[in-house]
Amino acid sequence: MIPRIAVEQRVVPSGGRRSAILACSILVGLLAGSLPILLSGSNPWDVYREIVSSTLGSVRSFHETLRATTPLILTALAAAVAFRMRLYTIGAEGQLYIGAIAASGAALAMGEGHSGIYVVPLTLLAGAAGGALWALVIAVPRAYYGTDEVVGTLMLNFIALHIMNWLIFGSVSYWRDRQNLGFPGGKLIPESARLHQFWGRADIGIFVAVVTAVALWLYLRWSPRGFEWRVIGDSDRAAAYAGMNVRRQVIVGLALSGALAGAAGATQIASVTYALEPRAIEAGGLGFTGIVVAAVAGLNPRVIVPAAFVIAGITTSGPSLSQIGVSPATIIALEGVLLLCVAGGQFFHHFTLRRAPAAPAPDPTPAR
Amino acid sequence: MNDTILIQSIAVAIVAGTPLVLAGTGEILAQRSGVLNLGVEGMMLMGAVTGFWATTETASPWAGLALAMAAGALTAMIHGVLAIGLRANQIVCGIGLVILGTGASRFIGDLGDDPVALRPGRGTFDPLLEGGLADLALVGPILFSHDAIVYLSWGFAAAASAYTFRTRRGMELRAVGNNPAAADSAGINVARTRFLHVAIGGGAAGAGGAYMTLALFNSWSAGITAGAGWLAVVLVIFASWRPWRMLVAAYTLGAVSSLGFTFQLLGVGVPRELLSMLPFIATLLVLVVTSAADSGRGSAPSALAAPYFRERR
Repeated sequence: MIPRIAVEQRVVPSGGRRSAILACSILVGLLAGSLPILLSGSNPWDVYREIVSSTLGSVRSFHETLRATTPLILTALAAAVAFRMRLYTIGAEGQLYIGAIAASGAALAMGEGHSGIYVVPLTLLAGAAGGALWALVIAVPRAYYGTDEVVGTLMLNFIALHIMNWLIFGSVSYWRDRQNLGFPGGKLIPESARLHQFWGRADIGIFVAVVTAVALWLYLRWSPRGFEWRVIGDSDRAAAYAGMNVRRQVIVGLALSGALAGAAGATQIASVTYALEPRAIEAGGLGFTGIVVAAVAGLNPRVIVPAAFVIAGITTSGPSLSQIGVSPATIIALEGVLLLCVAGGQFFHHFTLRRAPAAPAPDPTPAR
Repeated sequence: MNDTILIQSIAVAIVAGTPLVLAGTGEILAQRSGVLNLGVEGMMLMGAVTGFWATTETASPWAGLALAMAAGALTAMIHGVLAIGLRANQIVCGIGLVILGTGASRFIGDLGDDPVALRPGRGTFDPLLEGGLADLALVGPILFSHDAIVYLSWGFAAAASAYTFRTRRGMELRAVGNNPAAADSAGINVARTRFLHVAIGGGAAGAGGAYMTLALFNSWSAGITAGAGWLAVVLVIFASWRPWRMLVAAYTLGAVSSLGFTFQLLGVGVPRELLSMLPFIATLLVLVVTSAADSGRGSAPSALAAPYFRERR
């Protein structure tokens, strides 16, 4: 006989239990991810070892992973801030494009001949401002009319992508390199706006991202606004009863989320492409990968830093996987499986499965 | 001469809009049951690669279509298990499905010594009517020159519309999407209804993906759907959850994007990128205006994206 399983609700999930569930979900994800690798005739253990060695194996690969970590920390923070308030924005992609446009525009406008000490921060701030403004387009109707932020941000992603493509491919804009008569590209930003490199190819972007994560963790943990956001995340009705201005907090929260995503776009300009290159900026899928990182980190800004490093390691190991004869697409599928397992595992935060004491007698009344 | 270009671009818009009609109508059915499945792009990609693989193996596009629908439905069932069974966050799950589908479809396409990505096509859907009606002026190219799938997509939209609004099952579907607790009390199996319609939506998305590899491109390459799955999700809003309007919405979108090329041919100086933006701006406006008017989600199913806990009824 099949044992009967009962679903039982838990009152408050403890921190330890949360971490244990998260670890189990990730383990299940890695195991589930091994299956297709096995079926395709490769050894999953080799694949995982290759991912680790291509991340940490050499100074150069470590630096590449660090550079890939920077934008992921920022987009993951963007997702975490909003998701904690139960605002399920998927607009980090579009906010990142607008941030990249704003940052490259600001860097080009400042031009050569200034000190990086203030050109770099201004470039990053311009990106953040661009992302925040783009987020406001949906944040205001969300706060006042309850407009669905999920599809709203999805639409804004498309609009932002078309704007970015138009600036480079569809017009002779300020951003486009007019000297270049080949494939259209963006104008190079001045040296002073590029992130300072040290230690070879690593750059200061990672410090900016880590400091932002720590600051955000402190802010959410200790500031009154962090408390209000936690209450809104638990119940916006309770928050309204307690006299909190839910509308304003929704707008501020979504704008902060947009600013973080916009800053991620600015780091792409100032550290990777050095020009508005729509194809390269779109290719990373950094906005969506940020959601993977945020979910794997349990929406905790502190945990996002190591989680972003791990996911960046996985994403940058694609080329070396093809060297051992495994499709680089494996890592994309693996990320998807991880996200699905973590999302599914949340069930066990609030419920436990127990073997039901005994099979109940068949109900004599007809089924409802 | 200019008339011919216009008629041709309408005919092209219908063909280009067909994957969107299929996937979008399927997504309407899933959302009507109260489940938001953002993973359409992933399901379409799975259908696109498996459909093309089966066709190159069997030389029958119909076998490809069947396998694509199965693959799309199976992918959707992952969402079903997580979102309905485990009450997982549907937005996060849907994005997971897109990432998984993007990676897994490319993985399948690269498998083996004779990978699908390098194979030439071995069968496509031919126009159903030769000569006769298809040769008529104006309506010929627009209405009678298409392959069977275009007509099947019209049938699917019509059937979905009749089913949703004219049958008892359709009423149960809408009840589950609007008020699952009440539907449960009335003896409707909420989880089963939702799971079934999510799977149907996945099958339709798989068919949409297969139409792209089998009819539009006659080849497979990684990420071939290029955002069509996301467009289908957008069009559900534009069609305000009515299958008939999905035809209008999908062809409008197809027309606007092919209009860009037509304008270029005719020498009209409107940038293609700005033209492509219009449907999204329009949909965004529709979304904001309806939510302002109805204070909420407009005509969306009331329980959309909300997991149902029987224990908390």
